[in-house]
Amino acid sequence: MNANDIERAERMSRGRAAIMALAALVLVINLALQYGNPAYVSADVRGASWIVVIGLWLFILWNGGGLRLKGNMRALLNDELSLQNRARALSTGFYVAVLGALILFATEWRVPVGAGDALKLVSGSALAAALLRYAWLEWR
Amino acid sequence: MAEGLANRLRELRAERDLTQAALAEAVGVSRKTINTVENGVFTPSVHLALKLARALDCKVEDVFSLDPKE
Repeated sequence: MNANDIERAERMSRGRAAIMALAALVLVINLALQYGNPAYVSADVRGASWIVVIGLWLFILWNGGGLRLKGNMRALLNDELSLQNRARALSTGFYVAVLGALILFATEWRVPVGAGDALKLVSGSALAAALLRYAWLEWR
Repeated sequence: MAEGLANRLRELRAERDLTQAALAEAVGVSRKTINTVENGVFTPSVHLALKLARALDCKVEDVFSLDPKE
């Protein structure tokens, strides 16, 4: 490990945070645009793409990404602070998921919400919140 | 930093003419981690605290201490 590694890790860490913030924004835009459209919750490639997107970003959030990086750089990008930030981000995502599900539960008393849309709203908003929290913690 | 925990990391590092990046390199963490410890935003693990003390050639209680006001 040398000074270049430290500088490079810092740049990559900021880049990762920016990408995660952008991904959160794209998720929210997708949620808004696709809500109520049965084509996006149907059992086909378009419907399944949501599973892929959520699964992919959840995986990246869980392991920090950069799987192609070598040991030192991965260790720097996933040091104590970064691991704590990810844990806090996942905690935020959990609370948003539970609160989102409760809000949808109550909303459904007055406005019908399809199961597919409800599940997309819960999973998408929880993941977007976690990604945004992580990006914010990393940028501080 | 956890409530009631003080640290002299910035002061000790400056005394040794070390940059945050150099100290980060010595203990194997990012520069941001050193910065957040110095600013009291992040409380390091015992493991990292010991590595910081070793890199600064002092005892861990010289770096971290309970806040005297507590």
